[in-house]
Amino acid sequence: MKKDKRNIRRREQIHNKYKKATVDIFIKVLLVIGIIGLIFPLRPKMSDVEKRELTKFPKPTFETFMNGEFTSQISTWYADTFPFRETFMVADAKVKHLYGLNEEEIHGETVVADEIPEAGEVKASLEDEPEDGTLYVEPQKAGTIYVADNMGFELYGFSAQGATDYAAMLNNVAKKVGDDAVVYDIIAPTSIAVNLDEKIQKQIGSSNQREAFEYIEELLDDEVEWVPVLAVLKKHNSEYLYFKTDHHWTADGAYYAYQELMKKKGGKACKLSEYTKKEYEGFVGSFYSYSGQSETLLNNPDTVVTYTPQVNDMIYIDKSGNEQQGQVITDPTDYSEGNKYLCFIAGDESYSRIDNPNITDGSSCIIVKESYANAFVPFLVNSYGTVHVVDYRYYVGDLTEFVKENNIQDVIFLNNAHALTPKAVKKMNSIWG
Amino acid sequence: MLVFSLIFYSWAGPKYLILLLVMVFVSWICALIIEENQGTKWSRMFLIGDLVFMLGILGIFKYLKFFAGITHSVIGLPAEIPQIVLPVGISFYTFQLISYVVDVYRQEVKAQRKFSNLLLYASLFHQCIAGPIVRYQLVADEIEHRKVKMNEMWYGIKRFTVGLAKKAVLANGCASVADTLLPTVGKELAQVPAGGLFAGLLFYSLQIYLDFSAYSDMAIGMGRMIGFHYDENFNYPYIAKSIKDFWNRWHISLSTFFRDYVYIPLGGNRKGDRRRTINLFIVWSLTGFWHGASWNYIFWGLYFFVFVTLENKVLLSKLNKLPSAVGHVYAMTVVYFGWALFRSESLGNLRIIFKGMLGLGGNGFMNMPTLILLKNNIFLLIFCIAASTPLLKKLGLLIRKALCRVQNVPHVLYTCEAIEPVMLLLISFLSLIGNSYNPFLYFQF
Repeated sequence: MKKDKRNIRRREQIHNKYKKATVDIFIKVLLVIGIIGLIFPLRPKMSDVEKRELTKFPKPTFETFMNGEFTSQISTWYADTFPFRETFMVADAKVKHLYGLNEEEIHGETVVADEIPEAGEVKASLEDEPEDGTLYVEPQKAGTIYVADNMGFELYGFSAQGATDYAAMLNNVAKKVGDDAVVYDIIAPTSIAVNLDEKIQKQIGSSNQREAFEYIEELLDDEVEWVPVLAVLKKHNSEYLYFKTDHHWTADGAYYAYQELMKKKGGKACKLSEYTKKEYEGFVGSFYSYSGQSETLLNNPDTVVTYTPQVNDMIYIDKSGNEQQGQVITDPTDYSEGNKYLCFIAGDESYSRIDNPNITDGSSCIIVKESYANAFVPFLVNSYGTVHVVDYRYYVGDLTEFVKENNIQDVIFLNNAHALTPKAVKKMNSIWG
Repeated sequence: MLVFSLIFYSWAGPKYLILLLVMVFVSWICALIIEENQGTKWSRMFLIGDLVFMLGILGIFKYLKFFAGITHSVIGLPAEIPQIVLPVGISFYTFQLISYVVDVYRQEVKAQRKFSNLLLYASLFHQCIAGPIVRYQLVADEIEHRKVKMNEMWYGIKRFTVGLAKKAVLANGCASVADTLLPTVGKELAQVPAGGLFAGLLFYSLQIYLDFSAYSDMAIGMGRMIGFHYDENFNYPYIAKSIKDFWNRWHISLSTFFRDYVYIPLGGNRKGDRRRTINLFIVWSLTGFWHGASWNYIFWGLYFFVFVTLENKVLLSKLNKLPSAVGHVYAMTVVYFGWALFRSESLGNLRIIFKGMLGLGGNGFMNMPTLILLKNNIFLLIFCIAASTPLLKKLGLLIRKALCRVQNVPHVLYTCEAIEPVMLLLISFLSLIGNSYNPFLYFQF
């Protein structure tokens, strides 16, 4: 009995020591976190994964101070720029991976999509509102990402108004350039339409791109040359045509589109062997960030394959309006793992030009595009004396005039399926005088 | 402590601090006058004056927008609905101050002489924002004499980190699933299949319990660290066997507040059946309304009124004869659908949810994205359900006992106990950093 009591007392004493240690450790860890949080030079300013500038320390005004906005901005800033934030975020994603079974994953909200209408059911709205001159770079909601088979897919939501407007815009441009040039239209399908069975596309709530493209094709006037690429990409879908971790196609995917364009033109496409092939490993693209850092994608990085054309020099106008020297293909080895797609034509610039002195027949084209065309443009360099590249989101000017002045024969539109929204189309339309 | 609490409170906007100071000041003066004039009509008048003032302020800040909205749509006045921002924690500290003044009037406590002590009571940083509603009686002594003991500190840390992880990891995890399956935009909501709505509501039910009880855990824990003892606010409400039982386990400090300061003064159950039903009706409307100035919260309160009344009249005596599982299923079904009311501030959304659940939404029972989402979160779901019951606690006790039997001094157990708070802290920290994840999307291609 006595021994028992003594035992219990001993146990309690030891327990108390442990308790003291617990309190001690806890307070110390808390202090360490607090101190790390106070080392301002360690605070990151940019997020590579999220592709954004992190919150800046707020400037107080009397009003924001009084209504609590200032302090809430400080809280945002504090959390947003915490030292080693990206490391912590990756660790957090690892924890979240434990929430369930992950042979397939879905990230993001339900996709809101329109039914695909009959031709004539929807009226074009191009002229409805006055155009705005602001740059089209507002943030959008991340798409819904489906991960299966170690590959990410972005769900596609068809916009009936966007598609209708897109066709109307092309018809409009064809009228404006008249006999000066031929308008070609390439709509790049996204990986979901090429690599996933149509039935599964429907099941996960993604609109059918084949039907969407057919709808647009039907609305186009005869003056617009439609270049179909979905069927050929689908036929070759066992090849590496789309990145697993990024929403873009690979250069190999873009090459098939280039072939189809040349076929439509009645010209000859250069063989892949006429370009210098290089491979760069370790690309983890946008799907990784859109999916809230899916572990599966992080563990399956992509390889960027590039094909350098005969000429690798280009000039471009950067976003501040200055002319710069650049390269058609830049070695992305030193680029961060999320940025390797920028190796193609220096990323998205408002205007770029590539002259190929080996071609002296005076041929030239202009390509109106978003980033899908970046992997595509290098192929054109071997087929045209001059390639003009315009990113409609940043370009300001009058392309109708530009086509006339520069004697351009081919006007090529290259957009991916997701670009067919009323707002984007309005911007495309606004640069044609 | 006071200064720290006030700074903490001002974090949400210094101008509301002035409001807090005024309200505490009025309560302080009123309580002193009431005590001085005990038993005279003055004390009664000052009590009424104080109540009118406090509820008036709460009414203006919390409910004016709501009432203005009604009169605006009925008689067109006022022409413009005033936009008033709800000061942080006003619902909680108003009730605390009211309970204090009423208790002084009832001579249950002595009035606090020092303004700063009363201010500390109202603004204690860890509970003034999300409860629990602490009675002045309970802490009267500790405000003036409190001691920090190592043992208490240890318990406080344990309790706080459990609450933190519950909030940061479990509740936020459930919230992100619930938000995907029950979007607030009607057009998106209408596309969710029936199974998705059911699952979404389940995640939401878990979220709301875990979130709310986590705040109470953290408040109780922090209180302990600095020498305050608060009553428990939640007692595993999701194992309740009737609605009455549920409300004895859910947000206990709120239901006892309404019981002691509304239901019983109105006569409670002492004035006959009819009067009791009316009293219950008032209490439940107020309970609902307290949660938010919108019709759905009132309906939510009345929804429970209906079931509590039914239980009083017939149901409870019948339930007692049946196996307890029946009562449990019944209570949880009622609570579960109640959260649908709680969730939808717009009645249109509520209609979409119920229509969809009945299979009339035209989206079938299940679709692939919903199914994948559920699979991706299945362990989280199971864990959260377990965490809402005493299961984890019992498991912990079992392990503890086993370890104590094996070793005379269970070093392994103590070591685990020592590591636990730090682990919970770190994992919550990761989760909170992860929350700031916000990919910036240029026009995305």
